[in-house]
Amino acid sequence: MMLTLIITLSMFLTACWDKTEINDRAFVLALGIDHIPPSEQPKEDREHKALEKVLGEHAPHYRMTYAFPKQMLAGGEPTVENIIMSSVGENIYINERQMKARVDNQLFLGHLKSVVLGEEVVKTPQMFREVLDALEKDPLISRKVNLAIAVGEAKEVLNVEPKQESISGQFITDLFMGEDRTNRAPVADLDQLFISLHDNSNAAIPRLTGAEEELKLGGAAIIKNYEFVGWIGELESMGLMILKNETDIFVVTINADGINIPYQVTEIKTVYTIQQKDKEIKMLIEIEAEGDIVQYFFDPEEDVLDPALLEKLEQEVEKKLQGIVMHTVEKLQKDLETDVLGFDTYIKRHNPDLWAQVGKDWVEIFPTVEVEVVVDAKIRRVGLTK
Amino acid sequence: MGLWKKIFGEKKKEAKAGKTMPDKKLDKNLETIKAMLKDCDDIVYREFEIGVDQDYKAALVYVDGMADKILINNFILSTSMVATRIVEPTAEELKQQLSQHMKDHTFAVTEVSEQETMEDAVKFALSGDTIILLDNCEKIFTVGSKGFPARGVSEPVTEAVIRGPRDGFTEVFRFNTALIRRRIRDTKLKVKQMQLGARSKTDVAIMYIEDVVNEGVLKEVKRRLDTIDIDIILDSGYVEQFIEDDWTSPFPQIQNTERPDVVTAALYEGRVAIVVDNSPFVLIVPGTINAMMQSAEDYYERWSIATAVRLLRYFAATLSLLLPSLYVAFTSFHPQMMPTQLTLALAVNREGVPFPAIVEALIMETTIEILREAGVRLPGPIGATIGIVGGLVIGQAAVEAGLVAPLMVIVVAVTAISSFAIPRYNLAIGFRLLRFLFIFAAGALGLYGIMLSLLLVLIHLASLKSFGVPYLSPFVTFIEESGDIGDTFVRAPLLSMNNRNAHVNPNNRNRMDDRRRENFGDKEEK
Repeated sequence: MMLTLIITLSMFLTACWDKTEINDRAFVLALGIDHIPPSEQPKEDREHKALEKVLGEHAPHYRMTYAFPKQMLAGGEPTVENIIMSSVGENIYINERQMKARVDNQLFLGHLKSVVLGEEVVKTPQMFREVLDALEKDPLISRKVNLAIAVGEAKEVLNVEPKQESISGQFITDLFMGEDRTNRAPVADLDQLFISLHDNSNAAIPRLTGAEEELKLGGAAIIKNYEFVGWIGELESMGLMILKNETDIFVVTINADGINIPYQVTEIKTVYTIQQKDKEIKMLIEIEAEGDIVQYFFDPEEDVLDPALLEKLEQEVEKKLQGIVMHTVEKLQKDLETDVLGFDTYIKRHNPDLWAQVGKDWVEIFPTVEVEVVVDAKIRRVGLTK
Repeated sequence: MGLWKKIFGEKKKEAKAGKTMPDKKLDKNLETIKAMLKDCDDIVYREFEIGVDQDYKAALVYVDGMADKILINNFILSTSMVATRIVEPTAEELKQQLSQHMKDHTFAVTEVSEQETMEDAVKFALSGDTIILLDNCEKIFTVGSKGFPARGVSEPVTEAVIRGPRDGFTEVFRFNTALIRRRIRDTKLKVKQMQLGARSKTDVAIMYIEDVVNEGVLKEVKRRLDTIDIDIILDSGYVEQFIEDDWTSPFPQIQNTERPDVVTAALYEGRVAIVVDNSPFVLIVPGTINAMMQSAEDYYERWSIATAVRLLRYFAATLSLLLPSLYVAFTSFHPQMMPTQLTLALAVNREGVPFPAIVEALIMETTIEILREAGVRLPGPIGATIGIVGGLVIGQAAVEAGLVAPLMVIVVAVTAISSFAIPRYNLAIGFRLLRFLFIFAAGALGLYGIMLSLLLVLIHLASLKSFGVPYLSPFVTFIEESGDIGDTFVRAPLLSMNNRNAHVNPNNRNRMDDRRRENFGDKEEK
């Protein structure tokens, strides 16, 4: 009797009572979040004005932009339409609620692939943290969602209608997917970003630039203590990814005797070592790279496999890689003064005693740390043929 | 209870009339038989005279069509009528020992027996034998002369294999026991016969290997068979339903097969076979789900491919049980669990479909079930055509009419095909039935519902027993005997299957010795 009761009750009191047919949902693929400055906030909302007197000031800060493909029947044939809609509200949750009144299908965030934040959002630390919290607390948003910072407004970026792919949400997702081939932006999913931000409140978030009919993912916004401190460029992003061991396939061009030779890195490994002299901390960064010379020139006079030539080219590669990495380190240390390189994590893990001393003042100490970069590059192949 | 009795009829005990003993007078005996077989126009009564002077009356009675006339003519009538004239024992002697003479010297047939009562004799006649009556003799002879029309041994329809023997059981009881006996030249093979059915008197045989069989199971089989009290048994299906453990379960607890080789293998596993006259399906007990997921061919092909095929079969069984319900759960409740591209494609696919996924699934599943049921009855050459046309045309038309999503048609087709990958038809129909439970559960509760139903089915399976052997063995018993797992999802190489399955017969398990090592080992040293 008891058992029957338990079984019956567990049947009807639990379960997923949210049945919605798949064609009655709208799968939001990309979400844009913007900050609207008070000057641009909508004035025509009389109801709001009246309410404000009663409830106090609740200025709508947020503009959310949803990009989703919508399936519909056009003359009996199912077609897909690219829909982009925006709504304005006091916070993210209220925005989601408001959208339900404007979309016939149920907006569904379970397939969200990318979130684009307007530049203004990351410039306001409080707002940025509100947004991050909303993203972290939503049960449907996957931790694999990619985050990008738009140059300007997120709405503008999402409104770009790319020629190559009619569904703009899908296009942005594809850009992220292709990123591991170009390595021009430090792509990290929400999970990694949350870890990084929980850790030291610093992060590098990819930059998304929109033009007429094109979008480009490259460079990154550097966040220090939840606040935007500056952009880094594409090569610097590459340097950052080399330093953080997040890449192993990319191309650099080296110059030897006036010939521009592409060097395709196939494997690269970065190892930090800490060297401590008295109070001075020195970071030794050792990079081992392996790769191919993809092109040289037709019918060369000297053999490309000649050890002397290879030696020379390897040195060029080392010089180039060292330059990229060194430049990145300098920019982050001197200009932006933000540790997104993982130095702090490294010291915490490998030298807890030292961290106990420097941990508190790391923000001040980081820019003064001496860094030495040693690159060892190998050329394994000199091009493929068919 | 009253209603129950009204529907199924009360168990009526056949009034056992006092047995009639044979009389000395031939005429009297003939009268008795004629009275018993009144209004049976297919009975042949043949009266004739034997002896040098043809002064002894005799008669034979048989059922026309059931008895072998050539045998009767050549070896009973001709010997009695012609040969007895030549023999010249003294009249007195002959008179006294006529019956013994007839039996020992005249009837040139193998099966001759004496019957004590008229009823027994008539029973033999009705199964195709011939009754011989002699005047002035209280004995009644019956001569084995069964010669009724029967289908020959042919390939089993429901259990075709690519490699392996192609003979299958027929409707004739004796052929079936012979087909099994032919494979086992072992004095330990026992055949215990009995007759079931108060009126039909159907022959039933329990077959087992004396020193391998699980004694408990054997005893239980005998006990349960003895409880059967029904007027007529038409097929082994009757027997199965009378002796199975749980008649409410959708899972068959007794295995049936058309293949003598399967029965033979089962006998040597320690199982018991029940052969029922008039049925080409021999029952094997105890039945386990593991045994029913096996095909004879698994053992005839090499172990690697057999293992792969078995894994595939289990996969197909899962598909046939769950695929439609998973479709319903995913499209209605959990679109976030599918890849994005698939989700979007599905959403486009389903756009314009007026029904929720569960109704869609039910429509298509019902349609395919109707097609399947109709397909059994459609005449052979038309059947295949209608099946294909029906399936293709209806599926295509339903999609074009916007009633169902194209993916649903694929789901239903894959499900239908998968269910035929289960080797036992009766297990497959159990899965077929449960599929609808799962669809409803998925439609109401999503994946949670599927999980609940799965648990329910598993609990049921775990509690099910067949003749004392757990239905899920050896999966539930392999903690005690892990060797059994070699013949489940996987099929171990024959060379390593040294022992019989412990879950069927705990005794006498060794079935072979691996002699290769000692033989080849010696050779290699030289």
